[in-house]
Amino acid sequence: MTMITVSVNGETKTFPKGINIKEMLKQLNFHDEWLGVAVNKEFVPKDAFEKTCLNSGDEVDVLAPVSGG
Amino acid sequence: MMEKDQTGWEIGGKQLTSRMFIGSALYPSPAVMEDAISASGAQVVTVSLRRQGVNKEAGEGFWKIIRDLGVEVLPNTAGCHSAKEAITIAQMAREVFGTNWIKLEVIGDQYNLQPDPYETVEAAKVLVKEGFEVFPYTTDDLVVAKKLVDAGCNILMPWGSPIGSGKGLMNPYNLKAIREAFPNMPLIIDAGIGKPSHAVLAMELGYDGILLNSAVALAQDPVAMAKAFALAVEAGRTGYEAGAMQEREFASPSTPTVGTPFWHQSK
Repeated sequence: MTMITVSVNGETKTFPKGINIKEMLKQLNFHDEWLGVAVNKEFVPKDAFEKTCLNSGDEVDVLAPVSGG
Repeated sequence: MMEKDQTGWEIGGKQLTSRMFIGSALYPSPAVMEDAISASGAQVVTVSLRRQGVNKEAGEGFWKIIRDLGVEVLPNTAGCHSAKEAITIAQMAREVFGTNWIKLEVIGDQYNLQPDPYETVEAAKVLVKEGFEVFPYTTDDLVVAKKLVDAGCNILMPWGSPIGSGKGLMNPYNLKAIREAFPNMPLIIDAGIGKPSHAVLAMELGYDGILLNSAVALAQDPVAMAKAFALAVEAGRTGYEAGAMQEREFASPSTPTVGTPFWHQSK
């Protein structure tokens, strides 16, 4: 199986080629419904998780609510 | 006794009775945060987005407390240094928090966390077109305020002084100029307020509200300070609506001079 390397929140992760965002989140145990995703600094809406496949070298940010001023 | 204003006021398409917005950061504990927000009476609480730790439910505890408070949330774009970053964070925040409100914050200088006016205006233009209600964090510069309004902002949030400094209103003259230039626009003093007296002054200038965080969260007793700010905001607003007397250069006796007793009687 061909694998790809992706950065998720700054950590290097390896996934099978063709993995989409929904599968990636599941594999990394991101089960919180309150999260937002950006790939290469572009927002990816929830309804596009399944159809958005990751490529080697992608930088993924998975953000969650925190306190703020 | 003067009747309290029960009709409230409108900002960003929502009706509020409190004129205090409060931040959710820097409290000694989540429980103190919750009690302080409640004591403040604030109906709008600022929140943010940060990277979630892999395999963790980071932020869920915090977010549940805020949800259970039943307040409006105002997500911020804190930490962004470009329009592009701020736009992406705003888009993510709209989905995560389920609101089109965004506190637009694009920092241009790390030393005093001064907003970058060029990037802020650029981001505002895009976000307004995308249907956001933009609450732009800006300096007290009147021209920048005008550019933000030209970009489509319906609200302005000039700073009192740099974020977290607690220095109060550094330049009341500029803040007055913004108030006079935009008499009908909701204006919030955001950042720099340290003491209740600063909040009173902000409200006496005719500002519609204040947004603060450190002043309450870093107080020795945050819950008591939250209450003090609630009283200050109400005092300042009521005073503004009552209309202050005209300042005079010279003393003028308040006690009647007619009938002054023996020792001042003219001979």
